[in-house]
Amino acid sequence: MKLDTNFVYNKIMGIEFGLLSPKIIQKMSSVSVTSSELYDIDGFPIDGGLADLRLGVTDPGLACKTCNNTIRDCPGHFGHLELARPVFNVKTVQYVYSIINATCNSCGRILIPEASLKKLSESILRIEAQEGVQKKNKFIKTIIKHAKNIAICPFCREKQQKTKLEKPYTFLLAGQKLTPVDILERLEKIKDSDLQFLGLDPDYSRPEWMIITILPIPPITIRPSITLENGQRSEDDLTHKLTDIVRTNQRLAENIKSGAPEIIIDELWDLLQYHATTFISNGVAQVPVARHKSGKKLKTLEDRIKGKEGRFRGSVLGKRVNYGARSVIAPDPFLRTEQVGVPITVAKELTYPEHVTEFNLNRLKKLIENFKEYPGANYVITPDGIKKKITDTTVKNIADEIKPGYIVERHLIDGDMVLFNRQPSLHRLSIMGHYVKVLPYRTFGINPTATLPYNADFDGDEMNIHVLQNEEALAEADMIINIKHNIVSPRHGLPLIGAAQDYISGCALLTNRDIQLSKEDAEFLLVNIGMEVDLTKEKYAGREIFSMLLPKDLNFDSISSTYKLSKEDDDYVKIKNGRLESGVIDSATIGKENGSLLQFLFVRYGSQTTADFIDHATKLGLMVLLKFGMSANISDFDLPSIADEKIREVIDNGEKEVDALIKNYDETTEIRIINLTNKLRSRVRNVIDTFINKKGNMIETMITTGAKGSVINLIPTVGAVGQQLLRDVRISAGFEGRLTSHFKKYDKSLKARGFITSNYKKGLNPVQYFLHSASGREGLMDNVIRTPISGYMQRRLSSALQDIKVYNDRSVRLGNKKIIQFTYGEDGLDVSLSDKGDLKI
Amino acid sequence: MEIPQKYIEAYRKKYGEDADIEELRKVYERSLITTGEDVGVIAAQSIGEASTQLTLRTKHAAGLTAINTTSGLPRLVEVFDAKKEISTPTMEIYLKPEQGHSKQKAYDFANSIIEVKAKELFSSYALSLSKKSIEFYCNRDAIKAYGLTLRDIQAKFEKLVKSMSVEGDTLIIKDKSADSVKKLIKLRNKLNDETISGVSGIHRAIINSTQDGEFWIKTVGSNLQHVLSLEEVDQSRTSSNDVMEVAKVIGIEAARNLIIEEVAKALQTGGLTVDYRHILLIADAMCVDGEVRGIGRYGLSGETESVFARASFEIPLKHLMEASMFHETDAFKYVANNVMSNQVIPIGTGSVKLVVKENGKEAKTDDTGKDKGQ
Repeated sequence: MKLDTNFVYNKIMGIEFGLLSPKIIQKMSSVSVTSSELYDIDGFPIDGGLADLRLGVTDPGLACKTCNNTIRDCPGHFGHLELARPVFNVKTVQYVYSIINATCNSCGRILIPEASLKKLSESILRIEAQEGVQKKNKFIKTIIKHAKNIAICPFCREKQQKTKLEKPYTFLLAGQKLTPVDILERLEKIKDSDLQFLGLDPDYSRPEWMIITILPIPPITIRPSITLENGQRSEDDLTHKLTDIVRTNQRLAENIKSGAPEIIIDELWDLLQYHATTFISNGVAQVPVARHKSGKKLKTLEDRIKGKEGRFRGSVLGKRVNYGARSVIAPDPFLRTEQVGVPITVAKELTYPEHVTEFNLNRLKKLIENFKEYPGANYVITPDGIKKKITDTTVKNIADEIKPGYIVERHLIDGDMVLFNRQPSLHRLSIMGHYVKVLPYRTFGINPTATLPYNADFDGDEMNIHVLQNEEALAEADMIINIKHNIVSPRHGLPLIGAAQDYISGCALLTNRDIQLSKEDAEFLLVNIGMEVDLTKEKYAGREIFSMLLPKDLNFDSISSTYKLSKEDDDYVKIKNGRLESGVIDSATIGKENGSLLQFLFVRYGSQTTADFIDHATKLGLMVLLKFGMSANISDFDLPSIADEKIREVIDNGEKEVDALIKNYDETTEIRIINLTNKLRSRVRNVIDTFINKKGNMIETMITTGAKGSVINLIPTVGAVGQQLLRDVRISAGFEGRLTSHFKKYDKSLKARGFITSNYKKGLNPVQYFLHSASGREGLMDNVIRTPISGYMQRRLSSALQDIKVYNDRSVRLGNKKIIQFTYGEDGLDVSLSDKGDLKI
Repeated sequence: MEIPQKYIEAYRKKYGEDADIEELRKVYERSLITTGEDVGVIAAQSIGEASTQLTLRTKHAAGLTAINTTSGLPRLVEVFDAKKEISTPTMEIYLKPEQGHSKQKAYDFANSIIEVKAKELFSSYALSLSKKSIEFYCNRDAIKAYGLTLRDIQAKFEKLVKSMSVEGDTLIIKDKSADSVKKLIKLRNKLNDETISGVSGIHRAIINSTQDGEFWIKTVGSNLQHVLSLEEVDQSRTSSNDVMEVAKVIGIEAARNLIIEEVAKALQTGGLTVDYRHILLIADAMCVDGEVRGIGRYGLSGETESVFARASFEIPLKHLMEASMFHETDAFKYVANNVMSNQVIPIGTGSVKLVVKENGKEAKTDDTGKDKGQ
């Protein structure tokens, strides 16, 4: 590989499609295939066979007879097979059918009066120019439809008889079978000037080319044979099919030559048609599937293109890559959000090609010499493009040899930018750029603040890393998909990266009203989050410490989660000139998918400031908990016995109400009962709300600050689990008239239909546990069905909208520059760069 | 870029009429969308990613007489598909003040629009091939319940049959051309399905009331054209949830608004926040040609000019065959084909080009394809 070849000099501007005419097939053919045999007794390819050396080479050591290249450089060459009789191409039969019926049986003109032809021709050109090819094709379909129904040819006055198509490929005219030869004759009669009304083009797609008269033989390079362990050759499916075609064709030719009876010839002709069909497609209705001897379906040309693993979706739009790694992820709160922890073993495998300059020559030399250890290098590429592996024997030479112009593939080092990805990649935030931090573990480390955009957790999730391989990619990654630029989601303008759980608890505890810290404690916190601040006072308020993380000119106010519940003025967050004057910092300001402060900072102070703030704030939260401790106890859930009695009372009353409802059972009763159980739940919630211990209860703190959990989680934990629903109705299936044999038959009371009166803390009995699992299982099943539905919807959306972009005048246009919005979103605002799609000044 | 009026107004309201607009301009320009941004994909992903969390099942609305409408993921798919027949068409009919403020009048109106088919008014029937007649035995109670008379049925049938007579509760229809049972049954089915009163397509109508005591009607089934033509109806507020029907009856702008509304509703009831810009973009893309097109194979995705973009989406062979027969050219101006050929896609950083004046000559405006060199 020469350095120069790294640059693209030519670009594909477009691809024209057309049919191959027999002439072109002959012209591009390097060999006329005449033999169905592949190899002679010595295992050498036969001349004129399907493995002819002029078709290309797949064996190492042999040279191609057409281009004289070996396996590495020979692209393969087409051959051709002259068919003794023409056959239909299954994929064109439908079109041949409409063309036949849209043209005259005897003179071959299109069945449209001469007078209107000129006008039609103009319309076609106009529609193509103004509305695009798609609309033109639609228009042509209407022309053909119209022409099909005309009974008398306007040119030769011949009465038209309709040709019928019997699938898959039998044409009938007045009960008489039309052979491919007859059809070919008819198609050849069509005038060039009439082709435009059929959507065809005399130079690129004459209708008779839709019938196979000469079969192009694909190059051997696309159907290589493989040599098995026992030395036997195993041919590709395409080659198998081609031998069938060649053999049948030979027999047909011989029979025709020797004047065999019509029946035998017709039979062979049909067989040839069958083989030609199954060469192209194996899924044609009413055509028996071609199989191996083992019964396995033969892979046809169509199979290679179609479907998820086909050429399009499998090979061309989605490819396999090098310079990637995959491993289990583990949380590491001491990494920065922008970092990813990479095991040394991975860092030694993944390399970055660094260009040698006089400035980094010595550094790279040292890396080469240290190739066995970390940090080292694996390969060196010389200016001639030769790749040399660094080994014990070569290391000395290579280290002496390198000079500017060489490329060294060195190990990953701290600070390299890599792409980090977790499947399913549902949105662009599923792939983001992180800085490498090489660590001595065996898993990828990720800061818990960065899990939400990936939707990752640590129950065994694996993620992928891709190392970028040139400066341009590196620069784009750093400036566009670096995780710090993607803190705020383009979906709703809320930060997806932010604090959760302990980070929030810690910050909330620190920023409570009366928190005072000694100088030593303050120092401990600040040093451990990596801030150097000169402390002059003896005592610091918690809020003073937090203020040190904020930009000095920040003015901000927002409600906090705590304020939402307490409504105390002191809980309302007010920041003046970078000083937290009042308020509890909790999930509403720094939390994931919430944090108003993070969003505010991101839009006004930029991504670096926000990333630094997140790093400091989360670590501060951790340090506060580390220093001062925070513990929750099962007894934090305890309710006074009077509360338990109240809950019991609520449920007992509910059961009575239900019993009353059941007495007049009609079609609305079930709905009434479900509504009642919802009411019961909120009544239980009220009891819990009034009785749960709120002072110094860390569970309660976590709930009010939004760190974890909610009152809704408390209801089944300490109150009552409540009604279990299945498909939106009370669970009823099971045995006849009852759920399980624990109940009386035809009992419709609350308990007998899946109402769980107990709670998690007290524990469920086996029947309750079973019912609870049943509605849990429903959720799982739902999820399984839902995933492919929404996946397919997203694929369609993406495919439909992928070419839409914002132009320089901020108009939104389709790929063909058709305007769909004059200004993006009607005001030109970017959701993630503005205040959730609004301007707040 | 000009600052949208709504922001200027909000700004002036806050800082006084003669506040310096430059401050606002700075904020506005900072918040502008980056040119070249692939807003289509962002919209698709924003909705697609969110939709993985939507419910699959139609939720029963609370209340005993409420009407179930498709919601959640199935509704979202339905709207994007631009389905001709949606699973739960429904209308919200508002009435003119005179009817809207009287419960009785609203109730009467609601009853009058419910479709009553002839078969609901008959208890049984008899066919006679010898007499070439059909005898319908009317259900007096049913006819009365709907506030109709036998005459109403006769009036409707008059146009459809040649001779008709009444004997008590029996309606006798004679058709001399009927020479087989098959023909008689066909006629019977035709008559049975005749709408005697109400608006065809409206199966149920339920009265609701707003807080200020206005009564409005929610229906099962939809027939916008007919309902809007009724005198009692307030046309400015009455709507249907059937996008294709609204496009046909009211127009493309109304359909666009309905798409936005319905998608926003489906996402909102699922508790998801998606910025309206994304929904707007999809609705605009669906309606840009003046007719509502779905996003699938037969809509937007199937209509791109790029052969490769179509082929890579679904049924590649069909698209390739048609492209070669119709001699199509795929200009590599799109995302899909450039991805396929490992070229820079014309989106984002790939949408900018370097133009160099060579030796004082004017820069070439046409793309020579050699712009990627050093």
